[in-house]
Amino acid sequence: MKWRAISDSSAGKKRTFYLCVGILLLAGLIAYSFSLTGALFFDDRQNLVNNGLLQIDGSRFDDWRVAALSSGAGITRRPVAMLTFAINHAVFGDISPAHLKAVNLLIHIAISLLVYAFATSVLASPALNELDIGDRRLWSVVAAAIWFLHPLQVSTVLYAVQRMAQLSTLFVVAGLLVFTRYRLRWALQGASSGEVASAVLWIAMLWLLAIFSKENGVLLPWLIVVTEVSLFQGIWRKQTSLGLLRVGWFALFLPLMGLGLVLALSPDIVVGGYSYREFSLEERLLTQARILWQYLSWLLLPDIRAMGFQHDDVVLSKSLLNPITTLLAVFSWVALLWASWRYRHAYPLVFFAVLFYLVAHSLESSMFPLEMVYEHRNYLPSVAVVVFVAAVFGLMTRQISVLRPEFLVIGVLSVLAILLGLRTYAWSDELLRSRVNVENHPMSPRAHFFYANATFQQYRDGEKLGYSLEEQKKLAVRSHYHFERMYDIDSTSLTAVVMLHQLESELFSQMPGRPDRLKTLSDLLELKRLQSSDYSALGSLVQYYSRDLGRNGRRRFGLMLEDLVELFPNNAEFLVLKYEFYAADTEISPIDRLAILEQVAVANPHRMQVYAYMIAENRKLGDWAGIHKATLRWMEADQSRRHLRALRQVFNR
Amino acid sequence: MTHIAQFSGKVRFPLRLVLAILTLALTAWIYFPGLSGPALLDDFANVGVIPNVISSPQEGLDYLFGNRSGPLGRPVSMASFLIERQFTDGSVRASKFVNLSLHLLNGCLVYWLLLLLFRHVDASLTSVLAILLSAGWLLSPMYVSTVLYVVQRMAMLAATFGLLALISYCMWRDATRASPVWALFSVIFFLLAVLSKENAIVIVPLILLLEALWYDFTAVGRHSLDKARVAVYAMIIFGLLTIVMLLVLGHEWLVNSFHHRPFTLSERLLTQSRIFWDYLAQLLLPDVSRMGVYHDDIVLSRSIADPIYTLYALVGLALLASICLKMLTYQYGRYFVYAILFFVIGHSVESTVFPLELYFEHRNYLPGVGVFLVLGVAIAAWIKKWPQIKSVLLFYLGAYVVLLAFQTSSQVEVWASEPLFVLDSVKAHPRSFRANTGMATRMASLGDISAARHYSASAHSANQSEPLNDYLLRELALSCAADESVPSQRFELLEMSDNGRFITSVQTLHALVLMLQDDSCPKFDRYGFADRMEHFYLSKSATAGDAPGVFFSLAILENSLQRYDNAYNYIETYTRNNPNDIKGLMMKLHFLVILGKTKERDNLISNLLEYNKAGLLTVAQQRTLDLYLDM
Repeated sequence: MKWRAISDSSAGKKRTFYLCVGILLLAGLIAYSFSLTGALFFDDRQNLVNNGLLQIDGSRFDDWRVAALSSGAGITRRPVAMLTFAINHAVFGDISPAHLKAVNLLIHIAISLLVYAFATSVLASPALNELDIGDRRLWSVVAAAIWFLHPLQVSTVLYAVQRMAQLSTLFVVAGLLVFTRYRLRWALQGASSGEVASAVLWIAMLWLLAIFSKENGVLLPWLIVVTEVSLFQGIWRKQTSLGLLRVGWFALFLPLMGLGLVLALSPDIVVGGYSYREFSLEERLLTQARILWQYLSWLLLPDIRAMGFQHDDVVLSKSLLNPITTLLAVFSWVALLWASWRYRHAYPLVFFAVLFYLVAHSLESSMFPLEMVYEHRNYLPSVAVVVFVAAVFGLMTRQISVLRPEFLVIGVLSVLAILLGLRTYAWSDELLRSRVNVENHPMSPRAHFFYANATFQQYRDGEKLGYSLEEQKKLAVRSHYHFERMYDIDSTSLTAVVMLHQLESELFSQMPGRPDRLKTLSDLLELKRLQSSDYSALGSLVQYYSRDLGRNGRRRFGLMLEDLVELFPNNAEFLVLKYEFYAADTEISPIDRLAILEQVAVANPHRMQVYAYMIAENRKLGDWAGIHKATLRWMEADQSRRHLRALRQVFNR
Repeated sequence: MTHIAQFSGKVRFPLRLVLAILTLALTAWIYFPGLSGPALLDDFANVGVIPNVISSPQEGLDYLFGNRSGPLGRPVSMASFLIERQFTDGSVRASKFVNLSLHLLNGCLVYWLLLLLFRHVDASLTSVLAILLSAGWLLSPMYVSTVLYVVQRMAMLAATFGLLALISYCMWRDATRASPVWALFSVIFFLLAVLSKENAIVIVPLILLLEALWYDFTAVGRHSLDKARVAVYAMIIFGLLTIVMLLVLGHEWLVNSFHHRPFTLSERLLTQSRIFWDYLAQLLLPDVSRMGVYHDDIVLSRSIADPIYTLYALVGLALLASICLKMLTYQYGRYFVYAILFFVIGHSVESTVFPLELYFEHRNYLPGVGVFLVLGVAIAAWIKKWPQIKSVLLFYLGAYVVLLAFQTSSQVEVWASEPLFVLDSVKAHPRSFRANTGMATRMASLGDISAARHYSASAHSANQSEPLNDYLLRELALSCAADESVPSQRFELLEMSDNGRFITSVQTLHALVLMLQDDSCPKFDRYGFADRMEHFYLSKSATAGDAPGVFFSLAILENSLQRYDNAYNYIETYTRNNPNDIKGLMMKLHFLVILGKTKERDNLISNLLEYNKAGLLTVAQQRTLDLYLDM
């Protein structure tokens, strides 16, 4: 026997091989460890940094409940994930990037171990037990190592809030592992009803934990069906059970039928959300066909220059032929699905990997009106891909005599480790990360925004950071340039206009030919259907004018807000902005401000912040009855009692 | 998986102990913030007046045996308040702390009882299952209104001794050699339970059914106890016959005893059928947004189909009864029936024919054990069928307990703050008369009379049977609380009703009078108000035949205005209706002395001395009488 498979080699060689893999994994771990201090950003702010409900010391039991429900994300509020963030805060006393990301890294390690165990089960399944890949345990290690070291995972592990996706993946993979472990036994020996009941209950518990970490966890049963149909093929006690096989196939199509039914009976559930997007349902579906190939290419040939945090520069597929790659993408997916189904008995692993990959993407990369591209969406789907790749490596080393497994594996893992090191290095610093993003995605408005914003922060902290005046000036100019680029690429971006207005008012007031940004803003507000990022931009302008009531343009902006409120009297967001604009204005009486807040409460009684504002205004008036009335309205709006801590403090002062 | 499967099967003692301690610590942790909550409703009358037994032992005895909440006076509960007063600072917080400690103790007793019961079912099940079920009971949000409502110590103590009686019985039955000590303990604990609160009488049928359904008259050596079988069945039949006989013979008395309630006997029974299911739902799948101390907004069942849910509830009960009958033929079925009956019989005093209010959460304190027992029996039955699911089921039960804990903690936080409690009451029960009047009072005290009027009007619309004068009187009291100017013209609105009643809400009048007595609202025309009252109660054309309490309150008012003739006339009417009321007689004595009516004064003093000889005067009253004797 040649040493084509490590299993055939001596124990010493095997040890050396595992040692090399271990060193590479350790290198990956070190690469991650040095990048944990990178700043929190984007959704981290809303969910963690600015989430007062989460930041608990843990001494009061109810604070844990409130912290668990403190996220507004998803339909479940993702309490399991939020609880882990609360533990972070209670243990370390802060929401620091290093502590949060260290826990994320631990979860990443834990999932890698599960991926290893799952891969062992998959490779031992009835459909694959004839596969000539040598030592299955070794290729499972390889699968887990690839998954751990893959640079695409960086934007999940080092993006603190994506712990939600991590935990969901953790419980889904654990559920799959439980299923495959039981199923392997049943395929040989069958099972009693008690054992089946036990498996179902364990899996159901993991399923619930996955869903309450992030809603993608709902896919676990479907992935189990994929595993059953592709790898176990209805085999029960060494025989093919036609009943089980039929149930499996029926269950495979059941979610599709359910989705079809939802679309037929109540399309608004899906289609309604597109009114806030800049693309239609059809455009999203067509674009996703291309993006799914893009994801796959990143997984198979990790080009870290194409990766990045933001991918809002993706070209929309307007039709099957625009761009033409859309047609190719759709056709090739159909062809791949057909071929993998047609040859499922000959190539069950292909069938499994394709189905798993598509099903695991089916929630975020299909018809729901989410943003187009995020790398973290591959966290779960990549599990099947790495198992597939490891098995293919195994086959290759058996088939191609010159291909020695240790060289192949260590070579691939080394490349991944280097790429991982480079990528984690870029993520270790906010300025660096955003600069790399801009370089890799020059047509991404958000990439420019993040870089401009990071640069602006550096300018703000210039003295503290020891920059010379000249350097500070350069930072300001660079920030302005990238906000301008953002506006050039997306001329409907309120964020760009607002930031440019603030920058120019503060730093470039004497700039010749300075554009009238407030006029641009006013024009945009008339034309554009606003999204949450636009309201945030307006909010930042409100804050800008509230910090200094004597700033130029304040009156004009105030009138603009008045016009907006008059035009959209039921828009609670505009009303809140109007209130915040006047909150520090001593010329407006608390009673007038309370009148604005009353309008907000009528427009949107579930906007909790308004009641806190009402209480503050009543406190200024010394009106305790008013405080009681506002508190009661807050309690009525807060059905899940998330704000009990704040309510308690109203009367504790 | 196998490791986990091994986990629950033979849980070692230290792990059990750790689990139990963790459960108790968790409960204490959750409830701890609630200790800073306010005293409520009946607390003021029962707990706010605890004397110091060391400095005045006689007053202590008066307190111990002077409670009139139940026919037996609940001396054990009153003793607990007295003892607590000696060892604490007498604050509400201390009282709530005692309640919490008692709740933790009761949790341990529930665990002990379940342990004994499940040991009889399947020895491999007992420890973790019993801990988790008792944790579920301890952490049920339904009991926040018991633990943090000081006066509900009575219900808690009844449960403590009731559980001890049941445990003693189980110990007696499980002993290899029959020892009378446990049996004696069972009797003693039962007596203590009844003397804590009378509804502990249900322990008797619970013990009888325990023997009949759980132990099935089987002794430790597996031989049948035929004599016991005859005795127990005889007692059950005798008990049932006695109840039926009492219901038949006392039917008219029962029906009449509802005259002061806004519902009849049949309406109460029909409504209770719905409440039964609601209690069950609130114990198993709690909805804390509906919980609280006020449930006077519950819709009455006027007939089987009004509202239609009554019919569903009755059909549900019939179905449950038939399922229970069917289950009696199976071993686990009998356990299930006992658990159901534990809940049903636990409610048999307060949720059936007696003219009590319709709904209180604390009524589930002991019966709730039955609900968790049902869960336990169901789990035991499933595990018997599928032993492989034991560990996973226990994990589910643990997760369920955690969810209950989260519900409880939010409810505790509401109860920890007096303003939040008031606001939550009106939020949870916007059609509750009491919640709305509570809110009206609060808004008035904060000076917002228009908001107070709004809630007062809501209260009035929620209680259609409230007489108009009571509503107007409340408006006057609210105006006084808000220190609003009240001209005499507003008193003209108070008119005599057709049924000869002028004021029925003695409580509102009394509250107003106390404020007027303290002159808390100087802009209120006190004399004008007293004149209007005089017009209806003391003038020649006066026909008002109101409750004696009205006259007592008005006597206080006239006394504060120093119009002693009127005060005397009011108290005269009061004592005419309550000739043996010492409190009224003492006040009458006061007016007689001021008015110089020597002869009547002497007669009254000699009467009071007679009462004193009979031991009817409290220490405080004796001291007051002594002052008059010295004059």
